[in-house]
Amino acid sequence: MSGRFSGATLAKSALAVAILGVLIVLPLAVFLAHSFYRMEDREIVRAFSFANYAELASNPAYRSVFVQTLWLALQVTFINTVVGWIVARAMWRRRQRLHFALILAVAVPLLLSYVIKIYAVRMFLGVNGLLNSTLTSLGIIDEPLGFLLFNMAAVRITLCVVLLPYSILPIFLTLERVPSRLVQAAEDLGASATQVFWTVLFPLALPGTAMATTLTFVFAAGDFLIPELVGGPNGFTLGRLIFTQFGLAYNWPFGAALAVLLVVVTLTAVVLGQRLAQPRWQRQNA
Amino acid sequence: MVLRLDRVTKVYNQFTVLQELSLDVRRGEFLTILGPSGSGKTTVLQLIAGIAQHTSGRLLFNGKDIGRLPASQRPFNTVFQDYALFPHMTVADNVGYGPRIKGMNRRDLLSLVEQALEHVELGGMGKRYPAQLSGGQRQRVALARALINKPSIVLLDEPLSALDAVLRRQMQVFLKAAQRSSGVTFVFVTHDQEEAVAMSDRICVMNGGRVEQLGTPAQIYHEPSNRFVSSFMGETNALSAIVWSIDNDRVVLRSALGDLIAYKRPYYAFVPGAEVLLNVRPESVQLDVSGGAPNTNRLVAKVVDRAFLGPNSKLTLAFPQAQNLHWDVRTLGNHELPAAAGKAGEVTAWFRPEDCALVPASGS
Repeated sequence: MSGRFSGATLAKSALAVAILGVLIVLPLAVFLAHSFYRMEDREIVRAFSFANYAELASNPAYRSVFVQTLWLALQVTFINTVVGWIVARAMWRRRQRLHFALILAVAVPLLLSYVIKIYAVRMFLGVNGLLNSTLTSLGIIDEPLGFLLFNMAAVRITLCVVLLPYSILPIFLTLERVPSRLVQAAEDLGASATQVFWTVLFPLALPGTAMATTLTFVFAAGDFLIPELVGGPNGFTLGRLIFTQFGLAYNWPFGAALAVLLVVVTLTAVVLGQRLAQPRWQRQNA
Repeated sequence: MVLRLDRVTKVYNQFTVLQELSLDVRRGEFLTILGPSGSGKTTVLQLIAGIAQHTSGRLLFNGKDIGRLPASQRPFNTVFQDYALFPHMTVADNVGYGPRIKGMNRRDLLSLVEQALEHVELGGMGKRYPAQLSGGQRQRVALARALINKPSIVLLDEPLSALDAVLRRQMQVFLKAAQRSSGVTFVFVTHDQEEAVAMSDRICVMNGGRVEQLGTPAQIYHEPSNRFVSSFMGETNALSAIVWSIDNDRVVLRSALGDLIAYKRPYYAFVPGAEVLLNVRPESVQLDVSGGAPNTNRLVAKVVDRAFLGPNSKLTLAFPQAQNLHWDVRTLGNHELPAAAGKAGEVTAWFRPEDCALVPASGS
């Protein structure tokens, strides 16, 4: 009886492993393998070499794109975590109906198409966009500002806007789970609103903050569509570089090497985020 | 007196939780606010703590109105029902929270916390997290966290309700001792009348947002001022009666069980003809075993039920003259029917005039 049961369990486990293997591990392995190949006469030569990685490390153009991308992702993560906290804190403990409406307002953009959201921001920032026309009609500026679009700043702004729900929601959800008794206890012991925030709310919502920063960083570091659509010639990022290697340049091995680099960055961010999401007091309880 | 609630009313969602409640808290006393759920007892505590705001009335601390001060600026600290310990802080950080946010330096804080932990018998536990402690230990951390601020009043909101019976007893003794040794005023909220009697200097019995009676445990138990208090404070045997006559120290009553005599207490304001409720505690009802009982307050009854309760037994009596009336009697030790029982389980029960209390039959 138990032998048959464990056989069924084994089969299920094997199926799960097989699905994971085919859908995730195998493509990644193919990528990893490609990153060691090279291109000759528009043909992929399947010979093992570190040439792509050497090129990555030695070419200052690629290095600067890499550093620029990490810096961009960190900036977006920082800005959105702060803004996410401000919005989540403002949404915290509202009346039932307002509460629901606010969550909906934050979550609905997640259901919209990514491209539509990007175009919305682009239309807002453009020379004939809402921001410029408002500023001109108010007489604050004489002619439309051109520097709002097609540069790194535009990429930063668009990433922040589009990724904001990923910051607000995890922070808000953990914040809502902080028992109000603890806030009362802190106030009872003499804590001001600021002290309540830094000693109770913020540390207890740390797992949500970790989730928010990890998601935002990973999305921001890997995105290629936003730099492509609003970045112009200056807004060049790692994601865009990978995209051009696979598309325009038709250099799959080099693109694969860049992608492996991105995966390493992403995994590092996830591991760091995991550590932050499990603070010491929670690990000790387990 | 250290704190006075002066005609405090609290309306919450158009529902009057407290109605013109007045209450004095004396310096250094252990005052228990006792009442069933919904009586408003926790609201009183929250108003004092500043967690809730009263609708009208005044809250005077040493003569000053503190009703609009935020909780953080009142010299009171609360021990919450579920302890409300900060899960992300160690025991030492929890206990030191109050002084720390007020900017005490690290060295003083360390020794103060250590002292506070010793005081609640948790020395050496400072590095643990609340989740690693037992219920009783968390309770003591919560108490230490309140006492370390040297508050004028410690407010305790049913802090023992989550503990099992044995631990509860221990914590009652512990809390009482902590209150005595610190000299701090305790205001303790509970629905458990045994707990209230065991711990308090004074008890404030609340019901329906009002104070029913305020007094020492003995006063509350033996001299209830109304029906609610007599029935809420432990078991009682009640009997409707009419005041027949009153002389110097005795009240003669007429009841379904015949004429009875009650000792006249100084606060009684009954006039002849008043409808009253006579209350006799089960432990005050005696069974006439040897036939030597006095002639007053003798009741012939039938034992209809017996229950062995360990230290004593409970006999339930029924009376031939009054159907549906049952009295409980506590007998020490032997749960067998007393030898005095005649045929068909008939016994003679009696009680002393001083062992009964009269309350108005009408009213709460």
